[in-house]
Amino acid sequence: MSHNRRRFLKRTGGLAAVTMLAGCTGGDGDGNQDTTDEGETTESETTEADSGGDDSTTTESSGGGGEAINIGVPLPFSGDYAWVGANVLPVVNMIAEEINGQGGIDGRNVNVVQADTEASPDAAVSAVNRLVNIENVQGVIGPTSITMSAVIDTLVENEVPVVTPTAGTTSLDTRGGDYVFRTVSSDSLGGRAIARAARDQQYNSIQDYERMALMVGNKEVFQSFKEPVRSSFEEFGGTVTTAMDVRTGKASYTSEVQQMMDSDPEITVLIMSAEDSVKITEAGFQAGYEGNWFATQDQTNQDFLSQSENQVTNGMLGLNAATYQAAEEAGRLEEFFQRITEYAGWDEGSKTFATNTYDAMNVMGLALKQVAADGDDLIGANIASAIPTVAKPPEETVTGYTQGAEAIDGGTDVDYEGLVGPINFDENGDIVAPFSIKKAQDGTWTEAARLPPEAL
Amino acid sequence: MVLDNLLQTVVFGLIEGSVIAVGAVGLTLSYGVTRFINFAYGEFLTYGAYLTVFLAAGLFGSSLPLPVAAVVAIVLVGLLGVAVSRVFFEPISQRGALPLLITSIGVSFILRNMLQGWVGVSAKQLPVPLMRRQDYFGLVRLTDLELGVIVVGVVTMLAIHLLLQRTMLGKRMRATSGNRSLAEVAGIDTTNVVRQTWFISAAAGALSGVLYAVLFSPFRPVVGFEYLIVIFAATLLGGIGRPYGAMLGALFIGLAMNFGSTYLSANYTRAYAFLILVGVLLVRPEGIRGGEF
Amino acid sequence: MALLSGGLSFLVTIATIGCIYGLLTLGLNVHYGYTGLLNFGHVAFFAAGAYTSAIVTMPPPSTVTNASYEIWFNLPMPFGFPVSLAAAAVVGGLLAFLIGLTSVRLGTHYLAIATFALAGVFSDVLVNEAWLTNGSFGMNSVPKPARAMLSADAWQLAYLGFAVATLAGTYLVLTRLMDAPFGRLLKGVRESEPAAKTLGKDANVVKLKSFVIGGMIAGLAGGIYAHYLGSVVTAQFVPHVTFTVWAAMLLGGAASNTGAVAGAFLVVAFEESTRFITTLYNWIQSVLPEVLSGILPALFGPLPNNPSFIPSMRFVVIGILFVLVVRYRPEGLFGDPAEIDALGEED
Repeated sequence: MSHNRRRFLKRTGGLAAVTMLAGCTGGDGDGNQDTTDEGETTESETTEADSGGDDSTTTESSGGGGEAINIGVPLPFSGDYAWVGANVLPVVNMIAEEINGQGGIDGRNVNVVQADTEASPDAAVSAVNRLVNIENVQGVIGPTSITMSAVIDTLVENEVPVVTPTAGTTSLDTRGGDYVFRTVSSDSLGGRAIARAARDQQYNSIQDYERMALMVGNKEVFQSFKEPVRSSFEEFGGTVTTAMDVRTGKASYTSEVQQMMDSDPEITVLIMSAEDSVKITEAGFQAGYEGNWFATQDQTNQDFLSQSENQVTNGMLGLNAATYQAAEEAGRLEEFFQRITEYAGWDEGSKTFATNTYDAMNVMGLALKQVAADGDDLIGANIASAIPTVAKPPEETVTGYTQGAEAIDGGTDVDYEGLVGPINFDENGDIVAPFSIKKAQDGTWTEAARLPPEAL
Repeated sequence: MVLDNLLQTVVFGLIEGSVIAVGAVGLTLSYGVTRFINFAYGEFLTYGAYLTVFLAAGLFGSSLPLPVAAVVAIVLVGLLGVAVSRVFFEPISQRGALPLLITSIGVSFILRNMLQGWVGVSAKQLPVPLMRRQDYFGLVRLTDLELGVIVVGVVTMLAIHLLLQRTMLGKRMRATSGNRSLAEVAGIDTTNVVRQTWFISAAAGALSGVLYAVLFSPFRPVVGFEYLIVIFAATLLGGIGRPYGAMLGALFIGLAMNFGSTYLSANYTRAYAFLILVGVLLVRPEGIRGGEF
Repeated sequence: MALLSGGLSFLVTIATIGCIYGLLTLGLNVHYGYTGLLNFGHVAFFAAGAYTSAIVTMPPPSTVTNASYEIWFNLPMPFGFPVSLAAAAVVGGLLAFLIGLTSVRLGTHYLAIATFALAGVFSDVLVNEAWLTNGSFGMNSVPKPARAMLSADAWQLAYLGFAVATLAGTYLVLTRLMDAPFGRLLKGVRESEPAAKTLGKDANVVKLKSFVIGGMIAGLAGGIYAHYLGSVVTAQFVPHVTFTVWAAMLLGGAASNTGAVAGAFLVVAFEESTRFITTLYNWIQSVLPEVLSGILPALFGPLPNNPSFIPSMRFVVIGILFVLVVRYRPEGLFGDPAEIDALGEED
């Protein structure tokens, strides 16, 4: 019963979920004693949209182990990018429960606090201020590229360690490594992968494209891809016919598409939101565009294809983070998919950013554990310096929190190896991971090829 | 090639001009009898498009064929217009233009956010088929749907013309618009005329929203509010309260937006509508007017 | 240890934002309350001020990631701060002058729409002209004056003090000005343009002056906002800001400076408090006796469960506020009914 209820909550979210949960709490008011329900209390904190001021409830329920450790999740939970929050939060919760199930960090429970950035910089400033000042978070999973530049200074100034599974922005290429880490490839690698895959038939299964057009939305999250794609494609011997900055959210893109077609490309890289991409590809179809399209992670999902007509998208190429082969062969990936679909009630486990989040939250948890095991204070500076350590070889390789926590308890240094890659942070807090090139056919994406980091 | 491009741009301007014209005429008709400009008008476009999507998708029981869904949606939005007028505007209709105008801003907030709270912000599309443009006379290319939008636009303009010139309602509307107290003295039930005008005005808004949705999918709950600026431009350009002026204004705005996007920069679509407007207002503060009501 | 505990620090943030909106509302009140000008593009002056402050104080693009702006002055803090704010006010006023030049002579409705639309065009410029504004990346390294000398909390408090002082100063100056002959002239134009003309005053010139004064105050508010957040992004300057300021002014009472400030604080407090609706809901649910615990879920259960629901309802309330204030209490909380009568008569 408890399990079903949990799954239901995950699926609905919003007020109805809170409603349901509040009903449950009223129903079994004495459930706070056993550990199963403790996990659920954590959840009551996280499912609601704003959990400000609720710390006391958690503290009571954590059973005398001291104040809870708050982990903030500043992501869009409403607006165009609400799917990001929806994909990330359940994974964070799942690991948080795993940590608490193992007795927490030094007896203190991990409590997940959600904050809606609405994918807008000023809402993000407000949301992150609340996390830092009111919730006193010890770490952050998030934010996205869209709001990264608006909040990164606040987070770093307040010494809050950040492990983001969602921000590929190139603005982090030369920053981070001290407080900011990410478990997602930089867009500069993603851009290079697009250029490489378009240029070589072996990676796209269609042809060696020579003439490429770029249509790039005029937002940070898109612009970050532009230079890497352009310069790499030229480096690989191709010609960029035009690199257009396109206004996002317009009603119609007829003029833009005409301008793109006038430059006569064989393939057009679309670095836009899924919604604008639907409009652009349809405008291209109406105008008789004969070339192909290449999409980024934002559109390489089922959502985009279901909004588009197959005759428009057939043959279209898309970029995705590839699964890490070692993780796949060891069966860890499948295991994660099963676990998260059961936990969150998803119909598929391979949602965008889900595996990145698994790695981000595991690294965060292990870092907390390491600091506690070393007997240091659980403060930002210590946690941040533990983050690269728990992911660094050559000590014992671990692949999940529970395994890692046991090793740490045994006094061993751990090297976390993840689902998206071996997760070894470089001096800027970045990782390298392979990419997967997908091809759309009859409304589904299938893998056309895999791009290992060495091919870039 | 240059000529082709020019003609094609004209055609795109005409298509969008048709969408704007239907909306602008609706807005200007209600201004004619209520004497305030309605900031909530954009929501009629939004509700028209959304209701059509819902009716066609079978949200309210059985799913209707698209044209039927559109007609039902337009009628429903017309009724919504009457209801909005009775609840929000009639009680303060004697207080002058400012309170009405400010109230209309509140109404637009209420309507837009009720819809958004209900359906969320995710984008919706009308179930219209996707088609390639075909050649016409070897000069211009358009899809059947785009042609259809122009036809609907022209037919609507004709219908409004006939309504105003040939029907009793039209005559009463013109009388009420010209001088409300005089119309009352002449025995016209102006309250009733105002309500009927609200129905027509809101229904025209909904039709404009449906046409917009046919051309420009996907769309979100803010679609009408964002397009309101464009409709305002056409209305003002034609001189507020003048239906024929609004039709003419809509054409100008449609052309200006498409020419600007094609030949200057595609990033400023809305701005062209306004530069034209401001330019005209500087010379003729009352707009280009067109024929009398 | 921290000077301010969590909740208090959040209150300080809200109070600072309240002061900034207070300034914006005072500016709009000069336009609408005192002169009867329908300005629906107020956010443009706010944005102009914020961007000006950003441009005059931003460090060179070479030191900032993802920079594409080409104009910067890198004024040093804290001495550049007053210069930056003065520039913000001047540019806000200048933009008001330009918009006013084309629009103030237009009739009520034309003016309302022209300002609404020109603000829309202005925001297009902000998004598109990245050489000036850094596009939608925004300017995210606007220096915070004296931040290096103070701890984070002390700085928050000091900045709040500064914002309060600026608001109070502006309030006093405006109150003096509106009681002076110039203020009477504005009201004269509002009540009867022909009458003002017979006094030998060109109504359009008076209106333009009013427009510029309000624009300068909004520009100043923009400067204070920019240096407070340290970040200026196009997404912050949407029409919603204009309408929030309108709601504040109507609620407080048009043509009342006290009302403008009170209205601004009330509206900001309301908008921020809605962030805590679910917390409140859970708290109520937790203190209700068990027998009653089914009531709230039964009441709210049928509501849509999409994540936009609560944010949307916040704006529905703002909309209802417009409608109710106009209908039942046109003078707002602190306004003078006589002044409002003078506003409504124009056609």
